Amino acid sequence: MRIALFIARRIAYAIGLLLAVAILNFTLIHLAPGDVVETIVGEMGGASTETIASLRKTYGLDRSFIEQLFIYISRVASGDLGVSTYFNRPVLGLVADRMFATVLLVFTALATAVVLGTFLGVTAARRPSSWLGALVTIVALFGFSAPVFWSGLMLLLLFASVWPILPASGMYDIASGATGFAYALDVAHHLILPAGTLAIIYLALYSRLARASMIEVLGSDYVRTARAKGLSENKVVFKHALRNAVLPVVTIAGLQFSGMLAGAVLVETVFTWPGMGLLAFEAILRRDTQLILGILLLSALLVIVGNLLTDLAYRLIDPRIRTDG
Amino acid sequence: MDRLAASASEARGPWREAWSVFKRNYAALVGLCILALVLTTAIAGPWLYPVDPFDIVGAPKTPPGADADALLGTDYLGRDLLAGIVRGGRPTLMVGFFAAMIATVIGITMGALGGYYGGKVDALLGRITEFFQVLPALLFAMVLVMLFSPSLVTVTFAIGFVAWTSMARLTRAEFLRIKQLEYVRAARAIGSSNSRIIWGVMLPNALPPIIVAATLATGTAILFEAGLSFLGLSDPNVMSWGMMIGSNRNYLREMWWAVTFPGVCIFLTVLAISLVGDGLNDAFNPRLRTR
Amino acid sequence: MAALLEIENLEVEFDTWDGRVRVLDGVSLSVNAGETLGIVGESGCGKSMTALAIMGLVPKPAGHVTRGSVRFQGEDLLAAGEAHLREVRGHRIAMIFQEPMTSLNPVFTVGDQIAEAARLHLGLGSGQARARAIEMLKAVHIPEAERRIDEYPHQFSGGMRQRVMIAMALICEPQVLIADEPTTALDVTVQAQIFDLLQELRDTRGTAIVLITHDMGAIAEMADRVVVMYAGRKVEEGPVEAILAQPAHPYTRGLLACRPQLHLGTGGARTVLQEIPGVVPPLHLLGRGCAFAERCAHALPRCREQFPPETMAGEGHHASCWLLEPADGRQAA
Repeated sequence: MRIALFIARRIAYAIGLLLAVAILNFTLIHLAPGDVVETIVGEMGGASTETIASLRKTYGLDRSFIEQLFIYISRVASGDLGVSTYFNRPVLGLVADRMFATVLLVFTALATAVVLGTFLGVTAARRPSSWLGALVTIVALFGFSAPVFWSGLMLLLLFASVWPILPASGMYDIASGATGFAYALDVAHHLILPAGTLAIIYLALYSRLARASMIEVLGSDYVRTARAKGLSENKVVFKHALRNAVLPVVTIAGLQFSGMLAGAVLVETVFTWPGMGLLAFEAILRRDTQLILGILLLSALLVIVGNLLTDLAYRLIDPRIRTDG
Repeated sequence: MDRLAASASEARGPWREAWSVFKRNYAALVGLCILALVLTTAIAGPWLYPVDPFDIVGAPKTPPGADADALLGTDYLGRDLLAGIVRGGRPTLMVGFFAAMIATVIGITMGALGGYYGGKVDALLGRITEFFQVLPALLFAMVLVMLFSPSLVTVTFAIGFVAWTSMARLTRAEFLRIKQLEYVRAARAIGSSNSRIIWGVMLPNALPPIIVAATLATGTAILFEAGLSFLGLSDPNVMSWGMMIGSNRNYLREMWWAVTFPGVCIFLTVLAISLVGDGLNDAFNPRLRTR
Repeated sequence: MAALLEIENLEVEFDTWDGRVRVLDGVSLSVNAGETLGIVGESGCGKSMTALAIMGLVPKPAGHVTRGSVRFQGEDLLAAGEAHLREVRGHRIAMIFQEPMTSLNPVFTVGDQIAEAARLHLGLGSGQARARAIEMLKAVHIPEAERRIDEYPHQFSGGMRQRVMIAMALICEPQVLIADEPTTALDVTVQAQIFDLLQELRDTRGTAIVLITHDMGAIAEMADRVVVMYAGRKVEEGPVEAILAQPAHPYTRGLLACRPQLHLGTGGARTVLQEIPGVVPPLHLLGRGCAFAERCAHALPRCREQFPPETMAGEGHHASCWLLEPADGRQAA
């Protein structure tokens, strides 16, 4: 019952946030120099004052700011995010088509980074001065410092050119026309490089975090109690310590959702992965304002959903949060 | 155990103590050296090697070492790669530094005010911070640059404007912690004004983690700038490392050098900053260092 | 009859910023079946470290047991393999710690944590172990045991958490319970309750207890024998009555005199609160003499040069002090 209340509260909050994003979008359109009518007039090569006035009326630009804002918000609320000037399709449909690819990419990268990172970090923590600990720190620094698009390109060079075992672009092999399981396998094959590239940065961060967190947990009083009870070291580490050590990783991972989406823009561009990020790049290239703002709004939605899921996961792991409501 | 460790040497001033710890950290010193190298190249390079990176000096796609006029090869248009690398440092470093400054200023202000006043002020500022956190920063920066014309100044402000949230969170946490301490209560008791307490008493004490965060933020800002110029959103008249990677990426297979070298530069710069930042972090928190 | 637990010449060293420091220097003591041994001394004197050494829990990698033996039922635990140590820990020798607030894992239920030892050492199934855990909760007087067994540590108060720790320690019926300052972190009223509980459990189960504390009142009530430690060394040992009535070592006398005295009734001068002047010296600066010499009002030049051997001060009572050396040179074995 408390969970339901929690979720309901969060949804209401999320709607508020999205509203704020929509307002921001609208404000940005207005702050930017030039507007839709000016662009059209420019393309027409000049127009009379009457034409301009009637154009402004058509686009609703003759109304007051507040009125326009209200119209915009009500349109967004009903799902009308405008029409892409380049693709000539409704923005919502356009973005929705691409959402799955991006979610798949980001989710795979996140899961890999968290699971593998925790595993590496925990192993390094158990043997504090071993080479593994140093390796983890080094990998962390490298992964974090290299620009993601450059790592992607380097990996592309390595695995699609020098040692061609992975596909260089796209999400699946269009020519093969595979379906069902074969299709899934093909997608997975194409997913390795982009997801791997995206995961590296976060892998670096999470393994360091997991290592530091695990070291701290291993020095805690309740771990000492567990040892005093005669539990084997494996039990102490994997049953008692791990669950506590993983908490900061989950917290940080949750906070980095928006960062991951941003990274996805770059990764999708490098690997031509047909997701929202690539769409955003194309939108920027064509100065398709409606489209890019629609993407911004929907990205915010994805981040909010991601945050909610992270919070739920956190509640699952740490009972202290549960009973405090 | 801590008692044993604490029963050690005589007390030194906190900054000198930090410096002595920093000095012992080899990784941080290496970082500092790399940074010095990068800075020198950025400042003195264009003067020592005055080739315009936009000039066509040779045949396109020449590999490194093949042409004496272009030691590192040429890009897809025949422009000198070495010139690009030498010139590319400046915009990268400048944008990174100033954007980080902007983000720090905004972040500190938001965090300090929220942490100090608490209550409704904190709630409001917290909402604003969360709002900015929900927007994917790069996307938002892209939108800003697209709408307001791509110049170095726009890019700097765009990055600073979207990247301040972690600084704000950090500052707020520090202020919440420091607010409880004795000397703050003492300052209030003698009637110091709020702004005096915030900026004169609390902020100097919150500085160490803020300095570390600002250092790391510079690294992040540089990566941001690289991303934006990679996508072609930065000033087209300025050759930056990210732009070099972006414009040459379609020819990756034939021309690995045009993409690799600029990337290595960005990587080294950010790496150096991260090492220095880590060193600072350890220096200010000797307790956390493993023996 | 051989003692249940016998520590001989135990030496433990630690790597610190100031080099290698000896935190336990030739400590020897023994515990007989069913008896309660009190270990007293200031913070940092090594009493906790002794306990950890018995359990094989000296913190690594900084800590090293460099010399000595810990014999439990005749077997040297220090020479035993890790597997054997784990079998002993929690099963035949159990330990409770000072900080009940942080000594329980926050993500598992109390019942889970108590039953864990029983499942591990006694091979009980989960149902049986749970029933046993409920029994233990009742034995430590936690109300509504059947309901509270499924609650989490943060839902218990400090005193109750310590009771949970005691339940966890005693569920496998150990022969020795080491209680390391079990009440220091608790309120005064709760302290008394915990000591009462320990006494009750000892009387019903016959467990030997090693009670580490600086609460002389608890020692007076519970201990059969007392060991006094200072700066990593044992300075006095004897039956509790002898220690309390006729303390032989100047440090022990100082400790006992430090207790605030309550004088009822008006009139008469108020007594000044006694203290032992000075502080415990840093362990890495200790010389070969008696560590207490700097603070001792009766120190002889000899005290600073050589650590005094154990000298008899009464029946089963001896102390390490040059002041005690009888004229005919009689010394303890």
